[in-house]
Amino acid sequence: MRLLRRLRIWLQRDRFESELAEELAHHRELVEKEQVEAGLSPDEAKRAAARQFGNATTASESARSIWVWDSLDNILQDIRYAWRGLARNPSLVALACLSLALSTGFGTTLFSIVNAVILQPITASQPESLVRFWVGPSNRISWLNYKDICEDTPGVACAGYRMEEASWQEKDEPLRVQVQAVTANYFELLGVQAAQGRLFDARMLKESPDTVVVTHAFWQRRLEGDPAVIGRKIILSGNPYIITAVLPQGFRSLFGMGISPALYVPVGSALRPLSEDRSRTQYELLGRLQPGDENPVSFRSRIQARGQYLEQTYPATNREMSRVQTWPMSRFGLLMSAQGEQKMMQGLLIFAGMLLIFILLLAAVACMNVAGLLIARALSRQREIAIRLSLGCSRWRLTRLLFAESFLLALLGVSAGAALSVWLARALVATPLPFPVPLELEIPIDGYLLVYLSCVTAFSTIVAGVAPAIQGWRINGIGESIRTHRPVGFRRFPARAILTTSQVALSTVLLVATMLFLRSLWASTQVNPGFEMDRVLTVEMNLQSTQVTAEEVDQQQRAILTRLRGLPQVSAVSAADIVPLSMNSNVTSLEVDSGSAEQPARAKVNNNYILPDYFRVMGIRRISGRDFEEQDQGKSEKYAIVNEAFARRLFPDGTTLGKRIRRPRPEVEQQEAWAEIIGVVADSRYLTLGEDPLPLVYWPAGPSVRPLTIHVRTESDVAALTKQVRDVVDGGRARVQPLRSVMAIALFPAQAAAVLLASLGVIAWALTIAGLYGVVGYSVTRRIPEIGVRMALGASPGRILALVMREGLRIVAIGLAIGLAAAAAGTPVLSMLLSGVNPRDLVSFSVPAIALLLTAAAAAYGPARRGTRVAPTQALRAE
Amino acid sequence: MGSIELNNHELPAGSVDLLALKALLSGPRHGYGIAQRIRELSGDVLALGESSLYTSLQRLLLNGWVTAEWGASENNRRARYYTLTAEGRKHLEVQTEEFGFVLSAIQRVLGSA
Repeated sequence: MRLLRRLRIWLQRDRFESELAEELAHHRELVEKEQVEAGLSPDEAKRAAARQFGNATTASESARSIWVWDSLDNILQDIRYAWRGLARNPSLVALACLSLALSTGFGTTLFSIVNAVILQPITASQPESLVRFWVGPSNRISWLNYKDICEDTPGVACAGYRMEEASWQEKDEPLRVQVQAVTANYFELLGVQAAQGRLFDARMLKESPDTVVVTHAFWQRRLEGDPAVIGRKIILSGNPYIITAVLPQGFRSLFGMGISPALYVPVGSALRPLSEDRSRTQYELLGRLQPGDENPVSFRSRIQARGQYLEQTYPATNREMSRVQTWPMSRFGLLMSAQGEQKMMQGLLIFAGMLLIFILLLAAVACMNVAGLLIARALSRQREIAIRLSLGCSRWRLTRLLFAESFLLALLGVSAGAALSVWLARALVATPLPFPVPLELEIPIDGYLLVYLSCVTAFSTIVAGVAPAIQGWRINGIGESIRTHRPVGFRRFPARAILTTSQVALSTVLLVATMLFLRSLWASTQVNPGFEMDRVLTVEMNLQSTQVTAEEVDQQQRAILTRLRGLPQVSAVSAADIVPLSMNSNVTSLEVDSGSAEQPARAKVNNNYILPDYFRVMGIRRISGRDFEEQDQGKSEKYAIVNEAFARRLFPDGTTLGKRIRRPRPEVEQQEAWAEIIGVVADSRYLTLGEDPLPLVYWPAGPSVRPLTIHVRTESDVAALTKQVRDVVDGGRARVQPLRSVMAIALFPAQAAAVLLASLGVIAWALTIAGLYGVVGYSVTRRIPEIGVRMALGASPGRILALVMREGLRIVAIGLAIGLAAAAAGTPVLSMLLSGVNPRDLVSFSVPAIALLLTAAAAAYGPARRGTRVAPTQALRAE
Repeated sequence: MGSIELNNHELPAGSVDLLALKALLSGPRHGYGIAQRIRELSGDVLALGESSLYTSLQRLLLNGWVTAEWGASENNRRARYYTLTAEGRKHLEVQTEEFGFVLSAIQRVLGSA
């Protein structure tokens, strides 16, 4: 109630003032009248009333003070006053805002990316009750097994999904899009709602199976935000689909890390016809624990029982189905919860933390420019400040006034920066990623961002305001400052110089770290992946169609392989299921025959299915044993080739050839089908360039593993070969590209990080140089009298130049020394993110140091030259 | 003993508020009327300074102990009339009792030998 009354009076404060004045005047009149009645003359009465009444202003002020929050009023007054002062200095405001806008703009964009990639949880209701699970030895199961487990097991809710690629004709250029094929209950299981239209479910699919759900990003970017999007027909790899729904903006796919397929189609639609082959493992599984399942144990046991039944009913195709493994779904998506990636997650978090620190450092550098400008301003008005102090302005109030200025500047600069970053983020999202897979990155404008921006504003206010405030405290007596024109409290190493020194130190740290990352990136592109990247073309066939059987696909591919072998520039041709470093992987568990009756040893390995000649095409060295031969392919597969990492891990005694391992694929007819290791080849990178070589098993690709990616080896120019290969394979149905560009996706994170860091470093550097220029220029202006006297006494321009330059360079030298020491102390933390470069790399430390020194010298030279042109007479007049 | 000019900080806290509330007990009055009434009731001893009177009135308004309304005064001018609210009456009762308690305590101290 009190608050409401206060507020009402505050809102009507003009009326309040006039009414109070009227009331007081009336009162005074009545007092006068009383005096006249008591026998005084009107004049005397007036004087007596005035005497009795006292100070009318004091009365009204003390009456008013009951209503207002004193501090609020004063703060508003401070801000108004600061605003007026700044408005008279448009160039200062412009400079300060530019500094802050640049740093905030880039910092915020970086933060948004970190936010989009790491901080965004997946879109699902109660993600904590979601689980990933395997039934049997593989991460995938066949359609029939899926149906038996997810649709017919009481008390179990689960859905299946798999990634597909499709080509989508957009104008002339066909575009590859990532499509997730999901079971009918997928969206319901996740608990996701459509922004427009209706998400498909089992009932809808019965009527029209070929429906597609598009993401907000795809709708906006590829369909140009078509308002009539629902019901629109799009052609995916030659199959017509009807759009039934658009997902909400900010929808986060199951993958996490800001990555999302563009489209969702139902399993069983034209792109992914249902396979009645129980051995074709296709779908990954996602389950939801039911209310009451405190932990996945009961969930697991229900599925185990079901799996056991399926194993017994279909022994030919279902092996080990009673073995069920579950993993909790990470709030941040599959990419974070995949096994063995705890380390990756940790690395990402360190990287994100480091980026945030860098952003903060950059913001600090920018704030110091603002602080420098404010100090210069405070110095130029210190007489005014001294007068305020002597008139009774408290130091606390003075500090508040100075902070009001930095707050206003921070607010303006950060707002401009936020606008800049929105623009940057838009541009960034619209930029096509440098690899052919159009994964959609969403950069949201959300609550996290607003919190971040307020923090930046507060941070900027404090960092930019604290130095001027200290400067303000130093001003003591009015006498001192009125007597002299010289700024008071100016030490030999003034506040601005200290600021610039810290700026130099901070940007040294930033630049060293940036250099380290650039060097690391360079080193990583130089890493030998263990295979030849520049002499290999890959051909991906798009053979998925309803009518074609695996045998027919196999026939087609064989025909193409034969034709490719006929090309004169081609030296070898082979094919494989998985292209290394393309983000595809096939991870399974494996049994190793121990040679006795005891339980076979188990291991988790990466797999690849290949045709003969693969190692020759890829340039992977054979260590021992033999390659697959044509006759190994057709028969039931009983051979395997492993890499050295596998041999080291599982057979440390060194005898690998002839050992037997059991293949995880369930379609092997006999339970006892052991495969013999017939060869060992050199290690090569499989998932990422930075990884330690992983155990990898190569299997002969039987006809059921189709389509394969064809690999073509040439000893001449890859680019020239591309066209010829396209002609051979009928370019419309296949994608032909050099192996190196397939790997672009593996290099992308490091490249993106390098570009981001480099831009941070460059901005910090530019701001620092600008700050230094300002400081040296200011110091020249301040020292004009001194320079004049020196010149009059016969100092040469060279001496003057040296004098001024020395001051600028001293700042840089001290800053550099501090910065290099800090960087040397801090960079070992980054070693986890750096590959192929020592965290105390000499080049990374010396290049920024030299660059800073040189540019700083150039920045100091300008004002220093101006110093040498000071005429002695002018200098004396200035005194 | 002549009249005493009353100022806030020379009296126990809130005593001007109490005097003003007491003056309003007999009906709505404007500011001058309140000052008059207090002087009258105190036998011409307590003369309320305008500064403390109007400051006190704002406080009473803020706390909801009185309401204010514009009306015509005896010399046909616009004047703001203050009326005691139920809350104000209650506050007056409670505070009067407390004030008396404090006052008698002070007198006991001063009267003791």
